[in-house]
Amino acid sequence: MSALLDIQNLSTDIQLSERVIHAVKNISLQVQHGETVALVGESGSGKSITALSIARLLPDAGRVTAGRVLLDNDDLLAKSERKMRSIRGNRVAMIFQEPMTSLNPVVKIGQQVIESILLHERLSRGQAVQRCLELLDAVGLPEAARNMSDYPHQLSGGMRQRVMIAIALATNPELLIADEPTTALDVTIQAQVLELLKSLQQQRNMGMIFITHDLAVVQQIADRVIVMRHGEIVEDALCSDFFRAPQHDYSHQLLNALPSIEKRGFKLSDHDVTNGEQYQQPSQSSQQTVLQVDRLKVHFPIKAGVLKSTVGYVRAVNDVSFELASGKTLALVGESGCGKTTVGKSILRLIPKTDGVITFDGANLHELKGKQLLDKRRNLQIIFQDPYSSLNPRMLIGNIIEEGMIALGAEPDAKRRSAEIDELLSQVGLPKDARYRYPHEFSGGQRQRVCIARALAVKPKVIICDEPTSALDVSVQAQVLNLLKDLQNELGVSYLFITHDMAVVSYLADDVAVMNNGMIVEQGTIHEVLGNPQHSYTKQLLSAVPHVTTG
Amino acid sequence: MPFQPVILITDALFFLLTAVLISFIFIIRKRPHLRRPWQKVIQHSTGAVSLCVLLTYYSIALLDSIHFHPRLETQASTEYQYSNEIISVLDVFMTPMRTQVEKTFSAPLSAYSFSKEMIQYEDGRVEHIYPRLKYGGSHLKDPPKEKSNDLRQLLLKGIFIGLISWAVILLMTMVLRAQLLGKNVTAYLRNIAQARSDYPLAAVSITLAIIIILIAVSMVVGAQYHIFGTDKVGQDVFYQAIKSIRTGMLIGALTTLVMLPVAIILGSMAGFFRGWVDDVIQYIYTTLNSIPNVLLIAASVLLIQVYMNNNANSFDSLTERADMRLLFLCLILGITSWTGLCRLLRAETFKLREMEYIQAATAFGVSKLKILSRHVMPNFMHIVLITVVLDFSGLVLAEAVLSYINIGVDPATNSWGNMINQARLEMAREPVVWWSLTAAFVFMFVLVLFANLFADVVRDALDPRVSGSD
Repeated sequence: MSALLDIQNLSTDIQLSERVIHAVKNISLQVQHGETVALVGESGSGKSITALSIARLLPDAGRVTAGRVLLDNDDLLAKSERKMRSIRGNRVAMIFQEPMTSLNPVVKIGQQVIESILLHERLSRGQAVQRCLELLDAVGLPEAARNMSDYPHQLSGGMRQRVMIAIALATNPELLIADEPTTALDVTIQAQVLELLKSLQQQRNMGMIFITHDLAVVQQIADRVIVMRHGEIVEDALCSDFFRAPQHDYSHQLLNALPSIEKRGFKLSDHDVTNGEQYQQPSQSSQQTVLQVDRLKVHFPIKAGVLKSTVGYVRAVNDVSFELASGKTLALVGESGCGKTTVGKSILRLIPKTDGVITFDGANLHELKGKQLLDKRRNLQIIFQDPYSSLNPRMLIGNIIEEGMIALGAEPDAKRRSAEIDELLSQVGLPKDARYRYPHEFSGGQRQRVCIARALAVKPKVIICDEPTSALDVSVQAQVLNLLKDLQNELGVSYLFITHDMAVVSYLADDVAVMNNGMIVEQGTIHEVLGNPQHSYTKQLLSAVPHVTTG
Repeated sequence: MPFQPVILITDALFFLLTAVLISFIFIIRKRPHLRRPWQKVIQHSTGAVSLCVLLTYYSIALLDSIHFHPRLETQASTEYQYSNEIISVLDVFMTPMRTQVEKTFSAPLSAYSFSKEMIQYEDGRVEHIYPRLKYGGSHLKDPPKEKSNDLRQLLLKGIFIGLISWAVILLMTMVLRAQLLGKNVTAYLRNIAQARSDYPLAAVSITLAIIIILIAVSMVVGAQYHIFGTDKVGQDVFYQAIKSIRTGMLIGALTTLVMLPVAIILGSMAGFFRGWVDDVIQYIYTTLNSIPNVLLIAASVLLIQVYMNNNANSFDSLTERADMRLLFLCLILGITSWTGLCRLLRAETFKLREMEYIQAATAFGVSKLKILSRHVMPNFMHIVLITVVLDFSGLVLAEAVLSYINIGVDPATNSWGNMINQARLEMAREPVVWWSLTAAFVFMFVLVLFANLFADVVRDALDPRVSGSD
């Protein structure tokens, strides 16, 4: 039996204004009927461009320069655009990453599904509605009949992604291309969507190309793994073989860069952890509490009516208490919307609190004013999630780092300040000339290093890390995690680590607080919580997290 | 002293603007990170060419802003007498065109008047003919036969002078530059010849050549003919169009100067502080916006007119009066035109204040004023720039519209608006008088076009997100 999809020596270029990027270089791969092939790689490895080349949906600047894409021995690249249109959707369907933007916000979802059914099949309206109900049922929307008349904004992210899947499957495609379909979703939702895709794919005997950067997801869903790097395929192996014994160095590197509980106390590196450098355990002597949050409440008023009277509150954070010891890491874990970021920001007084006491270094943080507040601010810093929006694009790196030092009076002498910036840059592993450059000249990982340097510049005792690695690739994440760990050992800073990623938590944190709906449902040391979860939500969260098992 | 300098209020403001621009250039030159985007602008051929054209306009306006009373030729050598008239340096350069006033309309480059006249000869014969012009082509004996030849000669002469002065200027700059850089002149020239420069030297020198040749040709031809003809009272239209450059630049520049601080300060404050500050500012600009601009402008201009009529003694000359009116027009245009930019900036600040780098700055305890000036303002400057240039062309056009309903600049002031306003009646004549409108259109079009081209290049260079990584 011939392969469903056979890509032969495909090359794709992207034309930028002054240079050409060879995004995909001479790759060949096959997908069989009923097989799930995972395309894995870090950002910029060409995996999405490969997918777009198959469906001939490349951006204007992109161009296929060589190769053939055979779908059942039929070359897609040779087809006219008109024929291609009927193939897209009919035989090849795609699901994209962002469920928020892939649906038209002003059209009811039922209408959107029916539209794609009618586009490819001659059915009466009644039959199409019937089909739509079946599809929505198949993708597990709870009340298909009622959901049909909902608008996209009325559905949650997971439900929207289900609708997207329903639209993609409306015409029984032979090949489904899923481009990071679960990246924007919470872990528990991700688990459900993965399961759904898997079962639908088996029922319909579809071929599936699953593009992702997450190796844990790969292990859950794929039959075969293709690892891409710099536009080339470096490894093509069966899933079980890949995780047992990866062949290529780069695959090793990827697997080793994954944080996990087994690697605690070791440096994440390209080598196997057993050969890796081990951290010495910091002395346990100074166990004093630096930050204490007691019954913190942050409520946002809901205003309505002409007079903007308050009709109710969104209880974003409701009664949260925890303590952070010096030199330790406390992870605040939870899914999106649980209020974990709000906790971080209200500790920094970026958001006003409603009630509760935050004691930092023996002082009630919300009662401080003027000079005293500045003093405390020096000791409390934040690193944000998105390294792109957290640096002012119009300021030089040097000025960005310097700003806090000036504002907080950390170092009044200009010459010494300059020397200190040099030292900070080398501490976070950036070249010295970085200070005269602008943020846009750096990659995401480097920018995150700048953010860390900026926070460290004022020598804080506590750094609030708001998902600092979730926008980064695995290997870059490993570097940033190593850096954070190094700095903690060196300088004794404490981290309040806000994240949704259990793997990172298990690698980095000493204590864990699990949040749900603005409340902490479980709290304890990492071994207590991960090893023996008590609360049902914690259990649910842990079981949803995909694990990579190697060896 | 052969002259008595006069500084009108608008002159002073224009000089101030020039000083600000020059100091801005000096500040930028010292800082590599600020210099880089501007270097990119002049490395781009469109940017360099439009800058050349704009600078030409600017220097003409600047020359036209240096005013003085010329000395009168009197016998008494001990005491100077100055003319009551105020003229500018530009007028000195354009003296033949300024002083050679015909009786009425004449077509471009014509030697005859545009309308027939009764001429009575000495022998008592009366004829109804197109009379010869007093100045235009007056050196010709038989215009129909000689004119084309004469024009060709003048044209060649102009081109020749232009080319020579272009070559001299170019060579002098290069020698000077080579000496400044401490290089061998021949080696430097060879380098340039082999196109080893990051700057679009070819494009710039061609633009310069065109500009210099145009100036030379118009000087040579303009001394003998009326290049764009004459208007109803016999004034040279080319001279009027050139004089209008100052008015156009002033209205564009001064209005922007009035409007920018108001728009930037109020817009960023409304967006940043929200709450009651936002309410008040929004209330102000919504109210202002709901009053028709023309009504407001008409009311204020008429008010000023009444004031000036009642206090006629406080103005030394007609020029000063006209200048006052121009200034007030700029002010009132500025006051009515800040709302659009303010609204844009308020929205942009809304977006920016949620950015994490601003939260990081708050976490550092940076004061609100500093956050506004260091984090918010530099990040909406590209919007300001684009709006300013688009508004600049809009203001030049607004001046034309306002002059049309007689509430624009003083009728005595040369401006494209006044020219177009006059052309309204001329267009109804048969045969049509098209040159006033055409001259105003050409000069205005070139200014607005190159201002827009320049703005595009500047935006691309200043916006880090557009220029990307390099």
